[in-house]
Amino acid sequence: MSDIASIAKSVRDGLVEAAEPARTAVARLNEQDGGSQGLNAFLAALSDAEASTLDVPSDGGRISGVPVAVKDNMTTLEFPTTCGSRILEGYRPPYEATVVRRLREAGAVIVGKTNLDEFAMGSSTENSAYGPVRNPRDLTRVPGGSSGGSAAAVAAGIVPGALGSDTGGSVRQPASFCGVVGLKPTYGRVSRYGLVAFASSLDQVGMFGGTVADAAELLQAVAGHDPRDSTSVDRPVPDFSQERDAGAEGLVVGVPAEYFGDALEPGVKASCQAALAAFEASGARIREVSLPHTAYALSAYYVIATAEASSNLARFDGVRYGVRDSSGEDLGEMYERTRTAGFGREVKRRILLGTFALTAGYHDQYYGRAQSVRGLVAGDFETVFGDGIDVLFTPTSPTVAFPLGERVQDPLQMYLADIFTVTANLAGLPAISVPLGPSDGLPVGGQLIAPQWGETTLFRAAFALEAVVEAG
Amino acid sequence: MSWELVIGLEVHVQLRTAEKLFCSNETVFGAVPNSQVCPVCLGLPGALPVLNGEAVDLAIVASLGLGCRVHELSVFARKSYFYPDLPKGYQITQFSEPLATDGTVSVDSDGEAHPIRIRRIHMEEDAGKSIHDRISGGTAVDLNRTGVPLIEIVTEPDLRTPAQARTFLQELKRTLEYLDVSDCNMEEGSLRVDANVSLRAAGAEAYGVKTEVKNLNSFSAVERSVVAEAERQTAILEAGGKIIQETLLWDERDGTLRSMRSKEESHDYRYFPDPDLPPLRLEAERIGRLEAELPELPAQRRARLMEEHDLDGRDVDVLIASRSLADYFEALEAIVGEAKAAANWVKGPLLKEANRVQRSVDDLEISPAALAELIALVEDGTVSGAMGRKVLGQMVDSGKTASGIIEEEGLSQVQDSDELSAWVDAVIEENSDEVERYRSGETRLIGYFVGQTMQKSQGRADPKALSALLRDRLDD
Amino acid sequence: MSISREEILQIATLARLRVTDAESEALSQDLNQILEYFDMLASLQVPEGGRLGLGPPRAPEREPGQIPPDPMAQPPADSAPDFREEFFVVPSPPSLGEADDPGGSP
Ligand SMILES: [Mg+2]
Ligand SMILES: [Zn+2]
Repeated sequence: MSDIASIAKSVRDGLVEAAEPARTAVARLNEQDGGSQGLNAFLAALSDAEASTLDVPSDGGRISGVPVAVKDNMTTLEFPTTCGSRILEGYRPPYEATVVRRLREAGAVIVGKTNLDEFAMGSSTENSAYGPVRNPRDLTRVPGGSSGGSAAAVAAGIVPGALGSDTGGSVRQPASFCGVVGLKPTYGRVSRYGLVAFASSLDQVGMFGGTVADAAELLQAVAGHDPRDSTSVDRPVPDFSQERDAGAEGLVVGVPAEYFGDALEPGVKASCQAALAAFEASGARIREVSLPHTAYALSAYYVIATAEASSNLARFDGVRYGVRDSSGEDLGEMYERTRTAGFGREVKRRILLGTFALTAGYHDQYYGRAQSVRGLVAGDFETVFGDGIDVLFTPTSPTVAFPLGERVQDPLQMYLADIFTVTANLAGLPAISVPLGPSDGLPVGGQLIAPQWGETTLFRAAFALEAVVEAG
Repeated sequence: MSWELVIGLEVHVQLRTAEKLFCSNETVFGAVPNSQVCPVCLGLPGALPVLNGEAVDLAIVASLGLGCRVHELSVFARKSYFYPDLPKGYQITQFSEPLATDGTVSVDSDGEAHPIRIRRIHMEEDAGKSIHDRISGGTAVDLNRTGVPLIEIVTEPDLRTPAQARTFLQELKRTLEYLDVSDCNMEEGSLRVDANVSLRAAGAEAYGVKTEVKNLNSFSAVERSVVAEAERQTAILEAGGKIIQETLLWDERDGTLRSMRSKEESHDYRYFPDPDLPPLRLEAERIGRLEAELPELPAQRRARLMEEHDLDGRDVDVLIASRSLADYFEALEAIVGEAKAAANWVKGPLLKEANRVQRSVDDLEISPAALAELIALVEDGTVSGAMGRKVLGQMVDSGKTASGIIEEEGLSQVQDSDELSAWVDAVIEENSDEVERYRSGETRLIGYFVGQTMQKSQGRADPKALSALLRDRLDD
Repeated sequence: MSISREEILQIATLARLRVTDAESEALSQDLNQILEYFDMLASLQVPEGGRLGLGPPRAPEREPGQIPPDPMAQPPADSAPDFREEFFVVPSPPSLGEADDPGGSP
């Protein structure tokens, strides 16, 4: 499938009928997604009939006629929003997420909702109540998570771009596992209104694309202040595609030593080193740096994320929407049965962890301390960026995609998959995963992290890195 | 042993805003259930709160008016508990960093002024309503009230008697009304009170174990429930027992307290800062501006009325009893131009009417201009004072104007000598005995004749003209 | 730090989740493994307080009428498990009688 800008251009120029790219996407989806060996990347999609009667204006906007998939934790009017959970089976929200509205207003066609770890809690998309997603690069392996459905949909060429959400790496890590580009913008760059919250202070809507340019196009479409989200920030949105040909000359790239330790798989390390060498050859200046609090970041992340999640998921109580279990006698039993039957194992585990971290006796020891560590992690970044570093380069994940089922019984091992990505969420920084050279035939992603609001620099570096990797 | 009663109050006051605290639904009382709702206050997945600036202003005004220090930084927190009328499973409130602290309300009791300290005032959203007797076999939930802005005013345990608690609440309510931050309508739940009650041995320093009394829907309920709880605690302590910290529900119907304990009562609210809302930061300049524009408080109003008008102190106390009454008086005075007359009409006939129909002066629907018209008709002799008071009653009942009623019913005073003569002649004819006695020196009977003639005229005879005419005839 | 099975049951009650005895065994193992990992936080010297969060430094405030209520494509009744006579309906709480709830706002 061709890239977002070319699809939109051919639609605007009248070379292609406006609904045609969406019809093609639906046809590919039908080919690849269903059946026992299918990807299972979609939880809902346009039917053939709907696709053939689509009425798409050809002058709709910057991404006219572009088919886009949306992770099923963002509210849409035309599809249910399940968050991959039993508790929201068949739930139709009466309102639309700001990002979804902006996509439509820019001319995109939402072709379907993608599978995910339940409430975005997971790193493999095996925690969906609707079955795991397969990695299109190797059907025996996970696509990463939690936005595994969106990553797989783009990697399989069903859609040129998709939205995901990234709380601790849930866009970047699956992008890395599936060999596509995954972007997490600065916290506050994109509205969270209509994104079903997992951990509100960490969640950010992110984008997948086959190329850096595709991710940039989607960010362009959805970024900007939203008065319905008090954490979205009112500041101008630059034209990110401008950075396409800026090149790496003079770019100062920091390489934090803490991200290249023992946890890193040798094949991933080799890919990263090759990419860095090529980067340097193209004019980037590589400097080793230190982010000393990195080791504490994952713990702090999981304490904060589970604490917020335990509160965010309290609203799923069977009173106003969702699936109620009314087999019990009274209100207390209704709550317990509804939530016990409605949530999957990992979600319940995290609710319990988060509840524990906030109880009076443990609040300071866990939640309080984690917030302080969050400050230290953010401080590490401020220090290096204040010290002349333009952008940081790290592996996105310590490993390549692991086999389906390998880690489902070991939650801590699963959490460790996020070890390199959570820092950007803790500090609210923009970060992107760009495909590097593969390791044993499996995709590897390189992560770039820029200062707050530094998407321009981030894209400049990402375009340049993409170019050197492709050339190599 | 003798015990000292220690009372602290928590008062929830609904702020008078057009919109809810974190979404823009209306706050009107009594709307169709679940009609004033949107994704935000229904707690739909993905919806987010946006703070209502008007509510912040009103909360600042209330805090300043109650003598509190308003903090430039305060933080919204989540308070977690499950209840069907709490859609998100948490209430957005303020916890460790409240909007304001350290205020005072002065309460007059036992002829002395007692300063009652306000510990803190914080902003929070209201919950919805659970109705347990509406639908058989279930609880009905109305979320219209969900998200309505409240302030919670927490006192120090400075109150010592149930009566003092009641006086404090009356003073607090009056102050909030003067500040125009709330309609303070208790029937509609705009002002709700919880009381913390404990006992300590007379002279002891340390406070005893307290209980929290809830469901107090009137000031008299506060007073009576605290009396009951103090008796209950006294009995336990006298018998050598221990008070358990618990929440009690006041039952207004039979005047009893009921424990709210249940197996799920193990409350741990798990407060933490709401990540959906950045901290509330207030510029000193904004606080200063609201302080400068603070509405007049009762004491200031009293002083000004005393200074501007030649009025008796006790009359002014009646006039400032509520802001609406004081406003009414001033509006009336501006039209009538005569403070004494305006004051007399307001504190006399007008309040009597309000009392008769059990409504507030505002709800009588007698505008100051309408009352001013009546006063003018009395002053110029069109009707007598007594007739004027009757006309006021008819104005309240019918909604008609004074001149309309007087005209329709032909109530204006008769000074016309032909008409008067006819009544006087008839009375003299019917009371020949009394005429005899009058003429033989019993002149105090003049009152009797005036009364008889008035009756004949159905109150319309002008008393001055009438007695002149009577004397004229009788003295012949 | 380790968490006992009893504590797990208490927390589950707070979170309105039911945990069977068999589950609590497995859960306490999982949670303790994770908490042990979290305990590295305890070994770190941290400044008091910590930061208040990311995003804008101050809560934006809206004016009346500035942001209209987001319209609802379907009424609340459409997604409710039980909605009768204009009300959401739930089973009654175990401990309450017939009177109006005193506030729901403890
Ligand atoms: Mg409160
Ligand atoms: Zn609302």
